[in-house]
Formats: sequence, structure tokens, C-alpha cells
Amino acid sequence: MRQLITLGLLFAPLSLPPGLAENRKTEQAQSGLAKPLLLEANDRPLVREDATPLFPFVGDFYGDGRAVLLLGAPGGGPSDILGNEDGRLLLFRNVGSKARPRLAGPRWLDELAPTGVIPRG
Amino acid sequence: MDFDGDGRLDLLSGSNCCDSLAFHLFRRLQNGSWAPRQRFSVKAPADTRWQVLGGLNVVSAADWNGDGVPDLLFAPAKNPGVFVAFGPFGSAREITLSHEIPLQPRGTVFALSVADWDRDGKPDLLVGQVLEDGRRGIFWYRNLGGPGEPRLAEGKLLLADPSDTDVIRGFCVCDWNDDGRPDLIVTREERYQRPPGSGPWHWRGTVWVYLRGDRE
Repeated sequence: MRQLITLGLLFAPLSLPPGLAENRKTEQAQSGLAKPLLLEANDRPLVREDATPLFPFVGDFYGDGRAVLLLGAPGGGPSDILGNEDGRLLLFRNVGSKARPRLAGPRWLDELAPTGVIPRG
Repeated sequence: MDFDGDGRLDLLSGSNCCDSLAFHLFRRLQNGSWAPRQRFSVKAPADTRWQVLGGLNVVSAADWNGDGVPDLLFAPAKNPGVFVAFGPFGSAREITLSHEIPLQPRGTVFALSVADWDRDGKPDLLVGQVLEDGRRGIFWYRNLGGPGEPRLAEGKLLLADPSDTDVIRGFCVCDWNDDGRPDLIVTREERYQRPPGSGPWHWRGTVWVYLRGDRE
């Protein structure tokens, strides 16, 4: 139950304030990068409120040839709204195609691997 | 990333907060499951002194010297520079780094990725850095060296923080849309007040994809 609540908090639907989903004027215009797109999982924007930062990685986690998004979430200790003491890893499976990825809702790595957390300190 | 060179993708993680001279490995087993977490400690090169201040370090594995064996790239928390140790590492649980990879400009590192950004067949280095002059963003260090002998050009800023209150926290390189060109996945953190201008500060983390544009 705790994990269900946690995931609900993590990706609760919200209306983005004006400007967030728009491209900011950054130097990527000179770097060959296109306008950024806010990623979604389960058709909801990947937004996390009032918690530790996220650290991304993409790899063929399930061995099916499709990219999986991994987001590392360091533990924030007692001040973490999610209550994470340890660092944890979220997995977003690609249920779309290789050319048009569509991300499913997340799972925690420690659901799959009992020691799949990074202890604090 | 395949840390042990067995052909299976393993998971490598930097430290969590206060164990800043260590990283963790989850080896992928033949049956697809994960071995228990292994902790590795990291030692600076003999001529290097780090201030151990805690915080999150950054770690990556890639074949940096082109010998077909994964190497370790490590950026210590709150200290400048990216360092390398050459594999194979066998059963060692303490890894002494060989040397610092020369980067110009130099700065503290909050993310790094090895990828062939310009698709010339050689591994480049992309680094999230905070420079001494205050600039902050993702820099591309093009590999101008020959096979197995990386020599990096001066860093080119690929992506700066969108604003002082919306900053890049992490990134990785991947071909997100399978068009053969490497893209960026970027996590950002925005600080804002609610109600605007007077309320307490809040943080909002977001995940973005920056595809390669057509003007490349």
C-alpha cells in the first residue's frame, strides 16, 4: 500500500503553470537540439513535486530491444516528502515502439531486486 | 552498462549522500535477475587530493581506451574533474583511479556520459558542469584522438540551465526516437514560490527529451 501511495504522489496529475511546458530560450538553438518535450508516463507528465532531484539513464533493461527510462531518486532523509531514506530507482518500461516510445507507469527496482536501494551514508 | 564485460547490462550507481568515495554495482545474472548490491570504494590518483565533503558522486562505465574492456569514469562529489580507471577490475572491491581526464573548461561535475555525439566512431565525453565563472550546463568534449587514445577538444556548451530557478540536475545520452542520432534525456529542477512572490519555496522536478534538430 505504501508503494501505491508513493507512486500516486510522485506522478499525480497536475496542471502545469504557464511557461513550464514551453521551450525556454536556451543555447541549444546553437547546439543542434530541437525544442524539448516533457516526457510522459502513463499519459501523465513526468513531474515530481517537492522531493529530491531525479537522475536519468536509458537502457535496454528488459532485453526486448526497447529503451527503458530509469530515474534515480536519492534519499532525502526525514525531509523527503516521499519518506525515502535510501536512494531508489524507478523503471519506466517502453510499451510503444522504438521510434515512438510510450512509457508505462513506473516500478521500483527494489520490487525486482531486494537489495536494489542505495543506503544513505 | 556492462561493467564486468560478460555481455549483460549491469546497473551502476553513484553514492547516496554521505558515502561519496564509493559506488554500487548490481550485476545482471544469466537468468536475468540481479545479484545483491556490491559496494566499491574509490581512491584518488596518487597525485590528487580530494576534499571529502559528502554529496552525490557521478560514475559511469565505458570502454575509454578502446581495448574492448569496460573502464570506470568517476567524478567525485563537490570536487572538480573527471577521473578514469582502466579495466578489467577482476574481483577488486577498491579501485584506484589512474588519472584525471583533461577537460577545458574545468569545473565540478554533476553528470557525465560517454557517447559518440558527432557519430565519427569515437567516444566523446558529455559532462554536466558548474564552471568557476558560474556557467552551468551540459558540455560536449569532442574526441579528436586516434583509436584508443582519446584527446578531447575544448568543451562546447550544448545546453545551459534554462534559468536561475530552473536548473539541469542530470542527463543521459540515448537514441530516444531510433533515428540513428544521439539525443539527450534531461532532468530539471524548478524552484518556485506558492503563492507567487510571497509564499514558501517549492521544487518541481521534470524529465525532458531534447531530440537532435534538423539544423544539425
